[in-house]
Amino acid sequence: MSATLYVRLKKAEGCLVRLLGQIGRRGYDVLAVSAKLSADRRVFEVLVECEPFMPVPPALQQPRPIEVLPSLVRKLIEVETAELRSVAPKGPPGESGNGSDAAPKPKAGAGKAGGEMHFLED
Amino acid sequence: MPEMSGASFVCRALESEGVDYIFGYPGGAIMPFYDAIVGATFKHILARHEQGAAFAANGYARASGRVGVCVATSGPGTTNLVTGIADAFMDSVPIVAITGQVRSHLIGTDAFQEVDIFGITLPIVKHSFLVRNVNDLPYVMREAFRIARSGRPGPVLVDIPRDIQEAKADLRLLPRIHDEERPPAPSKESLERAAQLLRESRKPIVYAGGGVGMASAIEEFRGFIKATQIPTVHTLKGLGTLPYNDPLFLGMLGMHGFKQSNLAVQECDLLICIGARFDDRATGVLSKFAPNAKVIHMDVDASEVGKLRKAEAGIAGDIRPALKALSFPLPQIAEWREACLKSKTDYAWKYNAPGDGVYVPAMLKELGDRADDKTIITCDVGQHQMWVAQHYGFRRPEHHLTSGGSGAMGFGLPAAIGAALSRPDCRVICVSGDGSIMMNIQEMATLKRYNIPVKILLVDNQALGMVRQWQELFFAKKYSEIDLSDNPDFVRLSEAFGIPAFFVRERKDVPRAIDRLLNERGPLLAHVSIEQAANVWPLVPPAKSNAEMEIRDHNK
Repeated sequence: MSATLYVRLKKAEGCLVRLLGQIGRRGYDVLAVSAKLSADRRVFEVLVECEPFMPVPPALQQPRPIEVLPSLVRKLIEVETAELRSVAPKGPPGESGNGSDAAPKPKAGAGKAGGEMHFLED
Repeated sequence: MPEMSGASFVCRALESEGVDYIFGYPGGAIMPFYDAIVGATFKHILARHEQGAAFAANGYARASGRVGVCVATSGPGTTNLVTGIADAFMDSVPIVAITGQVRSHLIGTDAFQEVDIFGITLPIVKHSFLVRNVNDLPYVMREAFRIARSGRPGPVLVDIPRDIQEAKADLRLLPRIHDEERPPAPSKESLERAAQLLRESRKPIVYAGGGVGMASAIEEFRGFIKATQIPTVHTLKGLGTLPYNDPLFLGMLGMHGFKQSNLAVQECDLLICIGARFDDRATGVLSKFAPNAKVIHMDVDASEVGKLRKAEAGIAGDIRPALKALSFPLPQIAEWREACLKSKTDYAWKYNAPGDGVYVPAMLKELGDRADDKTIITCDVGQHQMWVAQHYGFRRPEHHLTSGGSGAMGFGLPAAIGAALSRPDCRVICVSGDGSIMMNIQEMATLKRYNIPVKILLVDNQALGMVRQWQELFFAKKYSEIDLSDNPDFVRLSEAFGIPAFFVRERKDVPRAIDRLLNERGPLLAHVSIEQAANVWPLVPPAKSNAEMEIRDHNK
């Protein structure tokens, strides 16, 4: 199961690294990222596509629940908003879809396998 | 207000926060700050290693509930803080670490003593600041303290380049944000769901952790237990939340937990987790933990609820109103409660080990029995840490300072220094092992310099005991690098630091040793020799459930 997380993030020292670390180090594999800085350079709007790691051996416990991810990210001081925009069954990275019209659309390539990062600045 | 330097402003900010002690070690990039603290209202305690400073700030905060402050210079000074910062993060301890950084224009050039401490500590801080402009300092300093102590507390790093410390500006203190901020109240729906689960339950158990004490919810918690009469187990960090002698306290759970605690959790039909996080040392194999139980999970940190175990009722936010709302009688659990209390009696410790050598569980029980309600115990990490948890008998959680999450050897002595300074009304005893004490032995010099009345109870088995125990049990007795039989003479070592010390070899000498620890003034070290083969029991072997604990001791 993969999910797309939408985050509004105050621009501050190290904020993007902190955000991705909070996701990647806490049981979720980051598959794709796009980040766009607002015109006033105050906040980033970030879309992170990720999926829970499957523990090895998988029988011992379940992967981390995706529902916990927004509250995990909201703990970061710079985070203004964090919400799951779509949750999809496990498939090729980038094909999980984005069910919300309200979400900023990642630019082409942001969802490719390999987890490329795109920091888009106005 | 006239212009002042950034360093002077940091001092004024610390004073305005009511800081009375800071713990640190000077060096090049933090020299403007050290120049500015001369004449400050707070006192600087010079540790003999930055790790000691970080642990001392940690102990200060744990014992008092106030924010601890540690200071170091750039490069190796900051990296030496890292273990202490990680420990504060793992155990949710409010500290502010102030670090000097190379001048702004040198950042990123591999300058002398330049280290990206902001980057290094990103995963182990609640928040961090790299100050780029001296005019940001009022906001940064206020926010650092607010963030450290609010919600789920944690460490905050403030990295200040030397030129920012030297820069002058019209800097004014921002109004202090007071501690009255509380986390949001839990939702009515979650409380109703929890109340329904409580009413339906026949075999509930409360599983309480360090979060109860940190939420200042001890009285509400005790009121909840008194009203519901639910049998209760504690995590390592929760010990003392219910006093050890409360009839409903079954004991610690987990890897070295009490038999009656682990069995009760395995059999319960409702697990009420309060301020705990399903840590692997508490749960054993998670999928086999409390296998028949529904879960109510209360925590100030919403991301803990459902992180490792699905909760039928998740209560995120302020646990105090939640505990009050759920404090009602549960007459249907009487039979279960009686069974738990019988189990507690059946599996009580016996303390009747044969022989003349010092039996550590009995020694620690006697220490706990004779110490008053104002005694703080700090621990290092290893077998002695578990024996303290099992046998001392805590009355308050803030009287038990232990490196729970990170398990950092070397924590005990510097943490005791911080605790003694923040709680001068309390007696502070550091229980350590011969492995752990050597990790920060240099802080004996700090004890002596400031004549801090910390007592050290050093339990010496001439080995890394916990590792030795695991090698004995799970690695076919193939002992690897655990022998410490060439330890220094700890009595003479202590005396070399100027701290009186004495040796305890036999069981009959223990009462007199405890007399001295409890009654003598000033720092003191008791060096207690024990058998190398002594093991900690019970033990839940790796990859086993808590119901499969092993006990090979005469004590149970």
